Parts: sequence; C-alpha cells; structure tokens
Amino acid sequence: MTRLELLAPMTGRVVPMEEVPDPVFSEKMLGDGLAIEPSEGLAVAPMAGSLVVFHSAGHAFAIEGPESVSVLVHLGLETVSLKGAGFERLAEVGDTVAAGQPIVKMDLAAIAAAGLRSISPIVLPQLDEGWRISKTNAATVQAGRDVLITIER
Amino acid sequence: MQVKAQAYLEALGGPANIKDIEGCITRLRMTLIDPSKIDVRKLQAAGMVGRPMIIGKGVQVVVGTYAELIGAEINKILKQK
Repeated sequence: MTRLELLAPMTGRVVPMEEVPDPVFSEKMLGDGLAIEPSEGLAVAPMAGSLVVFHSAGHAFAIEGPESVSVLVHLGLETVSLKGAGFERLAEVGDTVAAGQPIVKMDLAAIAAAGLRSISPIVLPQLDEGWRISKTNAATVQAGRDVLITIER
Repeated sequence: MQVKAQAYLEALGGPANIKDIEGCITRLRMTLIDPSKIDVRKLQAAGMVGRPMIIGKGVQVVVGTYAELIGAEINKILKQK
C-alpha cells in the first residue's frame, strides 16, 4: 500500500471545502481537499516534490510529488486581482522542494485591506481513482508540522 | 499547451470573438464579443471542468491548474493574427 501525507501548508483554522465561498472549490470542480483560514501568512510546501505551477501573481502554486500526485494551494480568494501585491515569492517554478519548505508569504493585512478573503483552499486536482482520502479532524493546524490530508491506495 | 490553447480558442468562438482573456490559476477569465458563440461540447473536449460561468459578456471557464499557461498561449495566438 502506498501512503502519502500532506502537511498543512499554512497555520490556521481548518475549514471544510464545502464552505469555501467560491464554487470552483466548494463544488470540488478540480478535486477534493480542505481549506485553511490562515492566522499567519507563510505558506509552505505540503509535500516534497517539484514546484510545477507558481502563478505570476504569487497567489497559487502546485507541487507534483510521488506517484504523480499533485496538490494545489490557492492563497486567498480572487487574490489574482492583486497582481502580485501582498505576495512575497520564496521559491520558483522548477524548484525541487522539501515538505515544509517556505514557498510564498501572504500579507494578511494587505489582503484584508483590499477587501479580499484570505481563506486558502488546498486541493488534490485530478487525483486518480483508487486513492482514499482522509482529512484531519483537528480544528487548527500548524504549517509544516501537522498532517492535513492523508491519501492511501 | 499550444494544442490546448488552440482547442479552447476555437470552442470560445475563435479569435474574433475574444475581447480579452487571461488565465487565473484554475480558470480562464475573459470578455467575449458574443458569449452565445461558446461551444460547450468543444470546451469539454478541450478539458473544461464543469460548465462555463457566464455573467453578461464576462465568462469564466475552469480548466485545471494550468490556466495561466493556457491563457498565455491563447494571447500569443491572438497577437499573431
């Protein structure tokens, strides 16, 4: 059996995907996952792998890990509109990253000042059938330390 | 990515129907001249997830995690014409 653990990429409160106020995420159009309402702005890699996507606006990244499993971390909602303001990039596309490695820092105050939500969905897009997903029961998680989602097949 | 971009472009009514378009991380956001020219079946064949969201002339299409690259390719094709 293969088992992969995804660490919480951010510190904060765990929110069910269904409660994210954006249909792309709440209706799981891309895939299942969880969201975090962050209390700190730093986002780290949830697993080791390759940073395959890192939007030029800095608000979202994806890591491809073992078994072709990828994970998308979307920082805040509608944050693409900030065009990079409020995001400090700490890694770049193509980088090989370790689990827990800092990827981007989001300025929570700047996001709030822009009238945007900082709730951050973590999605497993295009996950092959056969994987079993189990999600943490914890109310709050700490970035790079707590396991957020475990998948097995 | 270029093949995908071409497929989406066609499904959206071709270059002449696109006023502006950009790729977010998961979706293409665009303003179309005539949203009724969208071919949903062709969009699905190109890889769209769910259904296009249409608000007036503003349209959003969920395409996966490579929307920024697909959007950039579409803009490249549009510039060539």
